[in-house]
Amino acid sequence: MVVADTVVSLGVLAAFYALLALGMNIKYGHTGLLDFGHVGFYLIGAYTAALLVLPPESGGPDTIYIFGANLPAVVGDLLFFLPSPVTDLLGWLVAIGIAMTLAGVVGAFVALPTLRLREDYLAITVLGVSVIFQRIVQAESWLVNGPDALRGISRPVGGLFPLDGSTLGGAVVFLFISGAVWAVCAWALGRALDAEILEVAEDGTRADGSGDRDSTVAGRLHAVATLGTDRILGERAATGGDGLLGTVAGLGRNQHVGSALIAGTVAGVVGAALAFAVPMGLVAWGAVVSVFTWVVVLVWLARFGADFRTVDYLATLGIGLAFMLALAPMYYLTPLWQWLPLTVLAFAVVVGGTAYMATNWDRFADRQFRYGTFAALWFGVIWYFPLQILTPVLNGNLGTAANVVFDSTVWMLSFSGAQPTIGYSRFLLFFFGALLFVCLYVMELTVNSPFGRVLRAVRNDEEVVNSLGKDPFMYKIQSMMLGSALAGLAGALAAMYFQVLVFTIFAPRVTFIALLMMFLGGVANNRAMIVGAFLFWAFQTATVELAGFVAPGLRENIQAFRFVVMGLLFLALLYYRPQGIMGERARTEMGGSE
Amino acid sequence: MVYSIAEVPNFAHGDLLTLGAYVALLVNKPGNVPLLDLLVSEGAPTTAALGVVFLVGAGGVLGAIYALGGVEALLGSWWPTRPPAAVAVVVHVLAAAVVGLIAALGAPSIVAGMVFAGAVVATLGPVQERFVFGKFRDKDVSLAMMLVVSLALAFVLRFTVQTIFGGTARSYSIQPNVELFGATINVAVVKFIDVYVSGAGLVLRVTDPATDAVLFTGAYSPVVLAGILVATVLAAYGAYRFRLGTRAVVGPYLLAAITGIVVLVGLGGLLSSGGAVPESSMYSSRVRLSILRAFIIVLALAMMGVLHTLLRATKLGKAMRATSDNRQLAQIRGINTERVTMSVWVLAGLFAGIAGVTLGFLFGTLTITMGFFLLLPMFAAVILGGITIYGALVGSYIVGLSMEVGLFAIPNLDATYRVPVAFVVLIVVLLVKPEGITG
Repeated sequence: MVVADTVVSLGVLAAFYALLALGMNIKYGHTGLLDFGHVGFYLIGAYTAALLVLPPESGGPDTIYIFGANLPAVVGDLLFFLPSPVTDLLGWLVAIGIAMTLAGVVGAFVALPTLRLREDYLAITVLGVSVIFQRIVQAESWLVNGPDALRGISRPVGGLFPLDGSTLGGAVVFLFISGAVWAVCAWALGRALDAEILEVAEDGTRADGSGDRDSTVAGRLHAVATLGTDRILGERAATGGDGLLGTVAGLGRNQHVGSALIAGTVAGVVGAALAFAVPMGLVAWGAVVSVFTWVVVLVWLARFGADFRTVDYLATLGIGLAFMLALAPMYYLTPLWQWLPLTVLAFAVVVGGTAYMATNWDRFADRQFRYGTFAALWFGVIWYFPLQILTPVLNGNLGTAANVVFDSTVWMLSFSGAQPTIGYSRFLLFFFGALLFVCLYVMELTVNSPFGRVLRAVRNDEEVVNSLGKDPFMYKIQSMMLGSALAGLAGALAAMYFQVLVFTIFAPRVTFIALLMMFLGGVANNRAMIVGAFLFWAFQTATVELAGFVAPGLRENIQAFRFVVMGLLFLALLYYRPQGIMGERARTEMGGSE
Repeated sequence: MVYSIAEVPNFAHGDLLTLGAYVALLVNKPGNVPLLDLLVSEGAPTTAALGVVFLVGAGGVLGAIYALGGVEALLGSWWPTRPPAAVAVVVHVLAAAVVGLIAALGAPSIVAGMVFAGAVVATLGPVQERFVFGKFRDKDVSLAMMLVVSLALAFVLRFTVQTIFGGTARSYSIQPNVELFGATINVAVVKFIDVYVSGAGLVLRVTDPATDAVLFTGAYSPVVLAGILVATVLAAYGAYRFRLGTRAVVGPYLLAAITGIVVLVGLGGLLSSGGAVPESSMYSSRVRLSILRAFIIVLALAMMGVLHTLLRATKLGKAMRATSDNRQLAQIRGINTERVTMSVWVLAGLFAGIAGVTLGFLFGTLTITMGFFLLLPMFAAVILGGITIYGALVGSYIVGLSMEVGLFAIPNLDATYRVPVAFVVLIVVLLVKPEGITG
């Protein structure tokens, strides 16, 4: 399997788990409510969406459920003039919306009697509520098939995939996907440049006048990426644009959103046209967009390692390589008693060496966090490119090697079939990612609003909030509603992803995972939820591959051991770095910045 | 006890039960335990396996004593008197050896497993405090963070057990026959206790369905019955008045209850006359009880009695009660609250180990989540009772009875709703009286 597929499915899982963690963040990070029953709302979202999307019960003995609203078909009948994939998607979106709302409402109802309790009583009580939900699903066979799995949840527009660009539907989908990716990359590039400008402005303009944004490579790249719209919008804003373009210009000047959107639209249309008209158009434009994403990632990394010199890059490469080599015995030796002690020994040596360097080498000690990040990134890069072509290169099969490198680079397309196509997993990544970004944006607006400020005040000290005339109870209820609605959204997306729901999915272990992701990313930092979710699933994916090296009888034990390691790392994280990887974002409150 | 003294709502406590239940497998079914089964041949444990079990059991006892205060505790510092160090060490080693021998030689008895599990988990309880909770408490983290830490620890424990034992469900092997004074008693099969109420009085009959033997028949005419009841009430009231106002270990209510039961059973045994089962009765009922289950009831009562004695009659118990009421005042009075906290963890571990084995026996199968799902009823019991030690006793009986009775009382309720019933009780208590019964 091509590594790009692994990373894409990793991204899909991370996307809806990030939503789950985001809900937890709203409840705990922003309002201080510890909700150990978070999984209960995940359950409600998932089963509601499933029931709304399933066709009415066919009466067979396999699957019994209380009702099936079959929304995609209903919407398809109502809006018969629209093509069926669109109505399918719309039906799903309606189901997701209803699931979200229901989860939020249930969250409010659960909160009403329990919010007045002390923290630990609240945690126990909501844990009990989630267990009750799980038991109801398990015991009542008429509701959602009881202890048996609820099957048959169809995926939206699933029938269309895999798509190649030659059909109209495929071209349209490619328009959206490539356009969205281009827009996000252009926006990210703009933000990277902004940060650079800020840094330069603080240091004063450089002697050679290179502080001007247009003259750096990244600056020129940004100008190209936004297809010059940035400059146009900048100029228009200066002269006071009007109407729609003026508003977009306002966005463009401050957040690069406007220029990114316009550039994205253009790129999407170009891509769709190319894919539709030209036989190799899909691959060509897919390659261009994919390479663009890699370039943006490199720009961000360069900014992240701003004061890194060659020796730093080499050192982190060495550390990443050492970790990869420590895993080598596992690959090449078969009997357990041979590779296990060797691997453990190798790991101990590498970890010990890294710890020694971290404490004794100045360059490392000053930049521990970035060294760690870069070492992990090198590990990932080594896995992604060289390791995959190791076997073909050793066999002298350079053609295959080049092919593999090309497939890995062009991650947007799936090369597993005869033709390069857009697989369903890419679509899911785009769909989930779009929903995630929308929710993140809305949540950022919320927490930066006066409402968010009251929430943080409630978290810090309720009495103060009371004395200022606000009722903390109402704000807590609203926060519970929001967080539970997000958990419901994650559940609905999970129903779409898994297609089969069993009550064992919704165990308290999921709340534990959400907590872990939240603390890992950074409490009260919304964007860090993506980091936490991605790291968690990266760890899971990596160790799942490792479990393949063990005898089948021991597989379950290894799966459990992964959780032990995760739990121990979580405890260490809570002890040594409770603010998480990214920490809480400094906010400028009303009254100016500090 | 941990909640009230160490101030930690310990979500990992349920998994201590799971750990205890699985640890007893080393004694009960050594051939079924990974790594240990390498030392078992043809179903019978080799001396090596027995040696391992002995060492682990003895190590558990010594570790628990070590947790009480380090090396000084091994030399006897935790004794109420001041013994010479040599005597204390010898006594400790002997106690450890006895526990180890019970575990090794008593295999595969479930009672030996209980002893073994109690000793091992008694060591692991303080380890939790020393390496996790204590460290976080020293950092002065918020209550919410401690909750998260305890939940993380719960999952670490649970998955450690799963790492070692795998995910398959296991069960204990119960030896049905016990040799006692030359006679073989079947402890696993239930006995029937039949009660018939008719016009001629009360007839009590105990039969053994396996052998169809009648073990006891007693008929009580209404007059005799009335006499027995009056005598019981009088005796109980007398005992109550006898102890009223004193501060003895066995207080008025306790003595009244004990006296009442003794008088009831004694008179019932003495005054029974042989009789036949009436053909028609106004009311009849049958209770099914096996000796092993009766043993569990007796064991629970005995352990509570031991705890009660410890709390009332020993200095450590008094220190525990003081620390539970007000930690700072206890420190002012010179009580070593660190040592008290550690002893509480040792006790909690001991009780959790034994309880885990009991749970595994009663539920029939051992699963990884059995302890965690008992956590809610446990919290319900503790909160209902009021987060004091006696409150927990009262609360646990109420919650336990309501769980089982509720399942029968509410028609058509599936057995999976056992825990939700406890939880509903908890919600009602939290809404009506959050301090609990004794709070």
